[in-house]
Amino acid sequence: MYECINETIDITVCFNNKKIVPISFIWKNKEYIIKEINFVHISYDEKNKYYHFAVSTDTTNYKLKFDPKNIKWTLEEIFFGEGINLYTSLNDKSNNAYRL
Amino acid sequence: MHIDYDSFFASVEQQANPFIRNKPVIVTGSSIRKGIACAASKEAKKLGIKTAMPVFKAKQICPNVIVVKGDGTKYTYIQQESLKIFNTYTDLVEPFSIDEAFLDVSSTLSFFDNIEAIASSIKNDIKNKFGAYITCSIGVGPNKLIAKLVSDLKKPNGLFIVNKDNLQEVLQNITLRDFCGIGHKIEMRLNRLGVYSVFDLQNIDINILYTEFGNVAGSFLKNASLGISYDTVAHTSIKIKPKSISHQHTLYKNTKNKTIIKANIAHLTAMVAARLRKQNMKTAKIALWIRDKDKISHGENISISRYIDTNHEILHVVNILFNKLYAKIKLKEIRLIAVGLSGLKIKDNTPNSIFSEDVKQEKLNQTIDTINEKFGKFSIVQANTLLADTTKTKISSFLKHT
Repeated sequence: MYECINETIDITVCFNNKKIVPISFIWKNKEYIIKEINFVHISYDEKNKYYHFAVSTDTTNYKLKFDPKNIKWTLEEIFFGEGINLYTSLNDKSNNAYRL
Repeated sequence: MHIDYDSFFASVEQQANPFIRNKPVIVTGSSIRKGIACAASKEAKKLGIKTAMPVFKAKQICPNVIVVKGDGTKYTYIQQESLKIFNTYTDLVEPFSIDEAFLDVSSTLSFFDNIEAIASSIKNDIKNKFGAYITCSIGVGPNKLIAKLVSDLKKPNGLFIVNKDNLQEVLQNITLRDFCGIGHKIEMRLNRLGVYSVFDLQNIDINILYTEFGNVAGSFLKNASLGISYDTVAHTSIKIKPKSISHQHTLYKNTKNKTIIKANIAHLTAMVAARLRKQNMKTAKIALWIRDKDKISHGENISISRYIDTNHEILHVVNILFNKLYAKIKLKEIRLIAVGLSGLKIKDNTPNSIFSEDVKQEKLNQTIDTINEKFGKFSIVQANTLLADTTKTKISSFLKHT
């Protein structure tokens, strides 16, 4: 099930071989460790260039967007695997995600 | 060489989201609830779900089918990056659609061991760049027609090579509809001539084809049956101007409300006119199509005596066409509207008109285009489009967030 979020997040990234590699991000006071980066692409509008990252943990897929002009990261969308929804995801203490 | 991505939109979404891999997936346009499948994953295709199938029908076939809203930015990105990859193999690269391209590698083949090496290298480059879930099938032949024909024969992730040794065998094992350029209507007309197979087409007298289809189409059909085509791969640096520009929209709700229909027509007209001006072109032929709730399409078109490009002039003509169509369809509810411009030519310095009102409209359109380029599409719209579906949605979204 896809859930549209569009909220600003804090993120930890590393710069590896001229690429931006997201490592983890914080959303609603919870840290999510990224296990896989599945797809990266670039989009443009009249004003700016944006980097989009489709990343996942063990149970959930996240769509992140980086706006380099404003140095802002946004959690655009979430997809939950089977048996998972927004409530269980926020309360999940497994998969290396923990409350701060 | 013809390169064709496999179940493109669906594969891209499955690459981006591991939780929908190996599952039946369909990709839709702007509406997930009421829409059609723009693409179906190979798992969905195996269940009988096809491209262009309505979502509700796909769900009848497979209630668990995952419906994903398409993301054009991903597909456009892949297309642009793919062309860069292909350009490392040859400068003769011609995009055919968002997920297909032709390459002419005849002059660069000597840098590789053989054609299989080139194909394999291209597939590896695609995998390394985008991910293993996005694959393509490649057809190789003596010309574009044959290459495109055979790229479909070994999907997915296939490679099919045609040379003079196997060309006849390939031609004898395909149907007329397998040729790019032969659709249902041409097939019916060929059937009426007693042509049901490629063999029949090879053997029919060409003069019969000339009589039925004209010299150009008749020659194309005869040559196609023999595996002959003279169409070459265009150089990537050549910017090809469009021959037509059109937009269509399926209404969120079927309606016979003339005000709403006209607002949507005005919106579509503004879109095609903006694209026309962006291409620095003018039009002399305008068409309008309407599909009613029974899915019957009605169209009208008109050629005009001078070339135009402003919203108000084009809309004036479109409204004339609409009034004709509205009288024909007799109060049936409408579900889809399309506006198309053809008979295009590059703008020259000749002014559209010497009348001050027309000059004012031209300046107004230029100003609207500049504002929309700078601040985003539909930052400013004409009042007659406010009731259009897409304009309404934007306003609703704005209100929701305040």
